[in-house]
Amino acid sequence: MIEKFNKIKLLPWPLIGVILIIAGLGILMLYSAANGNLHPWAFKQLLRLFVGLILMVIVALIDMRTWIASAYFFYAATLALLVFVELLGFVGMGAQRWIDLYIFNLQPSELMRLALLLALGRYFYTADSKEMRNWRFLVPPVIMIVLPVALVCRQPDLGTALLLMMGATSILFVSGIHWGYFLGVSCTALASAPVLWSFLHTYQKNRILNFLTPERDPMRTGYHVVQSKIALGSGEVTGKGFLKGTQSHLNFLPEKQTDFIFTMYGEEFGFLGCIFLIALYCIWLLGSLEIALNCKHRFGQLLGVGITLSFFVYVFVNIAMVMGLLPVVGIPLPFFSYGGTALITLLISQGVLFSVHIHTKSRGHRLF
Amino acid sequence: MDDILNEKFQRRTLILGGIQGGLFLGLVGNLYRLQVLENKHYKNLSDKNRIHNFLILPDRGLIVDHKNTILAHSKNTYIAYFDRTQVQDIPILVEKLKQHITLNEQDENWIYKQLKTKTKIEPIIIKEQLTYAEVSKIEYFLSELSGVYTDNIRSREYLNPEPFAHVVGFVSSISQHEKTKNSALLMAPGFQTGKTGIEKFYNDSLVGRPGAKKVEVNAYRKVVRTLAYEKSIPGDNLVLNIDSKLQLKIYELLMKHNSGACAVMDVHTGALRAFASAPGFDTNLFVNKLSHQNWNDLSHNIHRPLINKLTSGLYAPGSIFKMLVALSALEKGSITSAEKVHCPGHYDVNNHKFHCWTWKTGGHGYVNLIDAIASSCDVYFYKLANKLKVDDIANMAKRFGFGSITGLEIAHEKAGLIPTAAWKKAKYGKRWSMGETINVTIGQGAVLCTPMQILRMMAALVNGGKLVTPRLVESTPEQSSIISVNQQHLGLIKQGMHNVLNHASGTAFNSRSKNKNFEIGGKTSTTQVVRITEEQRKKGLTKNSRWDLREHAFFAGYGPTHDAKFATIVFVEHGEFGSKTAAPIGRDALLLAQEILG
Repeated sequence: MIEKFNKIKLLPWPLIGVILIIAGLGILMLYSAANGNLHPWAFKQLLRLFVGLILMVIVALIDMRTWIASAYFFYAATLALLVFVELLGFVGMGAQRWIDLYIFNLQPSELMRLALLLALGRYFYTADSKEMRNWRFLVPPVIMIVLPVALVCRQPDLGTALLLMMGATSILFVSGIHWGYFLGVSCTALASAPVLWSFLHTYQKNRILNFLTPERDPMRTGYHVVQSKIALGSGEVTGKGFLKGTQSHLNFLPEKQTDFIFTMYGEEFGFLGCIFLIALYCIWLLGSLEIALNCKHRFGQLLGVGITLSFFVYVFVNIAMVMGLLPVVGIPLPFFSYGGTALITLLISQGVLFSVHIHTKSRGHRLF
Repeated sequence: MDDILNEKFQRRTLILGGIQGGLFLGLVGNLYRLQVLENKHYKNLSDKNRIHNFLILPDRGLIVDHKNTILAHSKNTYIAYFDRTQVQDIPILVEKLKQHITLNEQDENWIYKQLKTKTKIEPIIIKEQLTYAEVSKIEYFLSELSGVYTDNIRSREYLNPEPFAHVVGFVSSISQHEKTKNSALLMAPGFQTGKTGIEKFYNDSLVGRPGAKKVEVNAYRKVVRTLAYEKSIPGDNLVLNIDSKLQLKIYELLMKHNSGACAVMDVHTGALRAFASAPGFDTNLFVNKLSHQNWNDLSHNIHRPLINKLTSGLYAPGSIFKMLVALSALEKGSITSAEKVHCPGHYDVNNHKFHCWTWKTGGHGYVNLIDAIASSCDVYFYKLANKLKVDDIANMAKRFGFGSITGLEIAHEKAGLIPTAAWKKAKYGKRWSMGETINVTIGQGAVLCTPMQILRMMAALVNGGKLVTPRLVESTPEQSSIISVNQQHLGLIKQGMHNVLNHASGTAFNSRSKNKNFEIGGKTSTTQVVRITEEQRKKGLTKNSRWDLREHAFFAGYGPTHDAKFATIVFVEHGEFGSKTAAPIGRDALLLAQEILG
């Protein structure tokens, strides 16, 4: 018990503070999205945040060795769940993503984000530089990546597929395998893009086409992005004021409580508000990356970078997408967008990162 | 741990961190562009999304008769229109609309026609006079009919339109060439402007001032709140000098003869108490989109209902013109009232035979001036051609208002033509001939005038030589000018006109007023439309069997003869005999005017 208490003391509390500020702003925006109401979103999200924070601390207290030991099992179980939704999951929002757990819908693809990172960390942490030069050594991790990505793509959930790829790639990158592989894969991917194009759903194709020229069809598929840019731009430097965003409150802005919540924030708080929020995200990401850098254990290092990079992808893709810089792929803004699974998965990942922080000896110089 | 790998890890992690930082800087840069550099553009777009401006059309002023009987008012009606800048695909929109409201082929064609003629910012009318059910349906599906609007507007309605068609006129949608005047009202769908009659002449005071409404709408295009509201100011009401009862009775009398016109005027003030051109037409048809069928019916009708015969019809005045010929001879001192002239029934000049109208063999015999007017003896006037120049007659005619518009409140009034020697020289390069003067003495030849000019002349002859400007609207100021003529000469002319109806030799003796307190005077006229040739005359043919080749019938009159109050002009198109068709109407019109207004 005392040991547990000491561990809690070791948690990077300033970083948790940053997360709470971000989540607090998010709940404020959910309150605004409901026209100054706690319901239906803000209160529910607050509860989830509370549950999520407890889960985060519990996960953080679990010994890192437990994560190493159970990594492959966790991966296999999640992969099985993914296959399960492929066969049995019901269709929601046009995509097969959820298992109804009666209390909340489980999205195995969200779990997979963490499971894949754990499995890859587990695979690479024992490897030495000699092994790394052998191409056969890279076959198992590639299979580990391709299987879930293919399943998630089938659902279809481009956003999650992208997150899985980016997180996994970052681990491969920092594990030290030859950079030539990355160059090769990139070139192959570019060359095979036309083939991949034919596998995409019509709505996905439209999203990409509309991303390239959003004014192509402003009243239909391009509508989201056009309206989002109008909302952001009309927020100007200081914003229209809390609860006063016209684009969001008059419903010109779609999905304002989920994927487009940053737009609503930008409309109401303007450029200065956006800079403040992005700064908070930078501090959070730096703090997370610092945990990885300071970790002496290779598993912790690899996992830390993987988790941090997937955090980064969330933030970057979401903000870039609402500004029309990337296609709309359905990635939420961490701790900000409404949605239970995303928030809880994020906090669990954060807990795993904290577990790395608590259970490995520090190198001494810390940001927090 | 493998030191090489650890070193690689540290290096590559820092590279990743650098890439992330760079990408975040990119995001911030793009936010700066959107929110700081280009914010004006997006602010405008955001306002365009949520703020809609509407003009509120003012209520058009009422048009009432002098007893406040309403002739034209505004009623509620619904219209649907769209803003083309907000519509992606117009054919698709039209198809969608067809699911909710009935749009026939003509409605559809009209939409596409507007697209060609209207500017980008003007609303395109989908349909006018929508039923409540149709409006509700459109309102219900408004969120999928982007760019479509409905409005409850005030539209003109004419009560009892036919008899008043040419007085009141009508309003209709603004046309392209009128647009520069009312640029603010361009954006108001359903805006109507006066096209004819009083509606056109007094459009500026009837129209009122539009109000404006600024509302905030949500994405489903429901109005959330009103941001600004400025009330419209209704137009001024107009009171006409017309008496509805008199107008209706006169119109009824005229319609028995299919086509004609009649006006009754106060000889002192110029106030028009009746102003009817028959047949009239349903002016309400023009307020909304006129169908091709209706337009064809009206424009091809041989009785020409769309023409205001009182101000736009040009006719030879015929015998009515004789008063002015007589007056110019008297003023010139060419004749005296006692002088008698022999009428053998014709007058021969240079081998040409000018016939007197009379059916009596041997003509009228010896007639003096008063007899000549009463019996309308042509020969008496033919012979004046020896003593008068055409320019003498023209001068007198012009002093009585011929050759120029009367100036009443109706646009496009015609001025007519009073020929002079100089006119002929300029137009045909030829000298004026005696034969032509002879024709002019009986109001034929090149002489052309409108019935309103005859009425004005009649008033001046009987009110002591005051040329009044006819007025349809009560508030139009009275206007007149004095024609300096010898009052005794006017008295002689009046005596002649008195005898036309009250002396057994008078052409309109049968149409006399039997009311001793209200005797009437006047002059008839029957004018040829087609010359009857000598050959036809020998065969005994003096009448054409085809309606449109028959003579026109006129009667200009006044009453009471002892102290003239009202003057009238009656025109019956192809009515054959002024004395038989036009004079009875004139008598009834004057007696009715006395009964109603006296």
